[in-house]
Amino acid sequence: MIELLSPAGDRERLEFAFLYGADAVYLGGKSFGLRANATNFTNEELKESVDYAHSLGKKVYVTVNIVFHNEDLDGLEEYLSFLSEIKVDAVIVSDPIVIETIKNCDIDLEIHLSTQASTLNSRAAKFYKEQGVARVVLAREASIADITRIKRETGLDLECFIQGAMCTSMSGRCVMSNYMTNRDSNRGGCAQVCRWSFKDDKDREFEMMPKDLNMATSIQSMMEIGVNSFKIEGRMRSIYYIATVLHTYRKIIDKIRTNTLSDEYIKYAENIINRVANRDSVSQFYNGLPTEKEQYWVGRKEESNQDFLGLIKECDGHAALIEVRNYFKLGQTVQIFGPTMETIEFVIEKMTDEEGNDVEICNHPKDIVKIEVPSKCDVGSMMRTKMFDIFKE
Amino acid sequence: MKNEKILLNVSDLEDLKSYKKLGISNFLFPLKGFSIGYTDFSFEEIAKTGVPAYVLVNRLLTDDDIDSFLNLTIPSNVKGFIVEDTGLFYELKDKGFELINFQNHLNNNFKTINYWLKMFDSLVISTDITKEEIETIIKEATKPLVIPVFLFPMIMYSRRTLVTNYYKYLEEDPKCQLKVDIINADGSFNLVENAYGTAVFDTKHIDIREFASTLAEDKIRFYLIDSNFLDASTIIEALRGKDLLESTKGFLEKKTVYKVGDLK
Repeated sequence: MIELLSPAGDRERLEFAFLYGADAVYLGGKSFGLRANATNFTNEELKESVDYAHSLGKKVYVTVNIVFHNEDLDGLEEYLSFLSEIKVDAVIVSDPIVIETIKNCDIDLEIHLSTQASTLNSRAAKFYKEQGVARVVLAREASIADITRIKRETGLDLECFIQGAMCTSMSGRCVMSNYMTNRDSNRGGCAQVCRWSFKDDKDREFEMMPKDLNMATSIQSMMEIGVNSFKIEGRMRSIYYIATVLHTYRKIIDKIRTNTLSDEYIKYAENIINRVANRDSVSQFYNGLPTEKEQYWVGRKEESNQDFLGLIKECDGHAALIEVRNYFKLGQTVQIFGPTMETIEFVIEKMTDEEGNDVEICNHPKDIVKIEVPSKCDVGSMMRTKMFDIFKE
Repeated sequence: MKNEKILLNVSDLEDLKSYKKLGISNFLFPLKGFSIGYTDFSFEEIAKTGVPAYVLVNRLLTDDDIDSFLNLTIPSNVKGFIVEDTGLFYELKDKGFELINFQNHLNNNFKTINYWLKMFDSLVISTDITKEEIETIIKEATKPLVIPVFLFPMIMYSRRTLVTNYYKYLEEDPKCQLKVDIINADGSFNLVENAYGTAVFDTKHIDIREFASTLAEDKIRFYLIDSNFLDASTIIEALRGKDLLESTKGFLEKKTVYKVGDLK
């Protein structure tokens, strides 16, 4: 089984994740998850989302992955029973009390061990398998040799991160946020202190922020050594980020399956991913320890780009209704990519507003405009600034 | 707090004699090649001391690391291990050693702690919890626990060699320690690196011995005193009851929050 697994910070992101090729999503309820400041899902929204996913033949995993304090224990059994009743496909856990509660209360839930448990060896994986864990989300620090051995010795389902932000620390082994801001990193309040600026002992600026993870070049290798689930980080990322990254990795996985993946496509994919993330991304620990080149040391400023121009709401032949997201104008060269369509590139030659009046410039987010497009576009496809030539098959 | 209940982390073997004179009888030795953030010692060095020794393995391990560990000869004065990695515990269980769970910052509630105590002989509780939380944990725990009472807390560790890489980036001679201050906020850290990676310690010292002495002594396996960053004379004076350090009470009276809206 090969699975492309997407974050879903809310219902809109969940729908875009499935639209753009995710086989499963992971998300958090209002309690017990590590993204306390994301929108997250109410119990009612959880049920609706699980039903929606199952109607598409897709899966939902729910994070119950905080490190519990005494005060957090109340309501855990009831919440897990609820997740079982609505038939979530698995829970992602790190604190063993969740595993024990599921076992002792005979709750019918598949258990995935969170990356917060930082599993790096087959003995630890075996221990958790004996405790009832069906899948292990490996530590991001696991190398190709570590993953190969864990798969060989345990036969467990393995899930690995392939894209997104990295902690400077081993996951779960950091409380810098607790000590510097009183916000509890292992209960979803991480203030990302490791991304702050410091002064060294000579008063020079010092940062220790890692570049992002990007495994585009290694997906084939990961499939060959038995990784089952390919996970993208970022429950608080935008729909444009989710759509772009999923679209890219979906194509890589499908091309591997049809034996049509080329080095040229991987290079193209890396460019697209690096652009959307606003940070450089590298393979981190898979092929060896990161060097000084896999870090930002001084003065890294993250500037959001305005590449996402509009969302295609309807398309009738050559006329697309587009919800504006960022500034664009007549005469601009743009691209539209979508879940099932070939990516197209064209110059905007005609735009009208909802009353049919000609428009030259769009600069109000959420305005609706009609644009002439060269071919039919998917509903939910996205118009972006041309940054790279379209990849020619 | 009786000295025979103290487990003292050793930073310099030369200091053992002085500590023993004060009645300290249990010593903790970070194991060379398998620990992070501390002065570490080989099994040969630990054997030569002849003292009752507990061995600290405070980092996550790969299968290759565990294979290497299993090829080592464990000296007879080693009474037990304080281990973070569940895989190493899996290999050490049923081998006759006292096994103490050390999952840095993760042992924050009594139910999780009792889960681990079904397998371990004891467990080091978190340094990040309140007085009330500790009291409940000590009361509800099924076995005596280890409580860190005197330390500079390690607040993060990384598989990245952050200090070496920084000096490589600067094209300067490598070092293995670095102190950094936060810009525009109060706070500083000590980064301590070895071949495995980098440990980050808060520069604010924690001393909760006074509170710990109010806890039921039969529920305490050890009071853990950490000599990292301190010289022997400071430790000795502390053991004699003199406070030479400016210390905080950690989180004893300061509960963490996890939603931005809960910050006061």
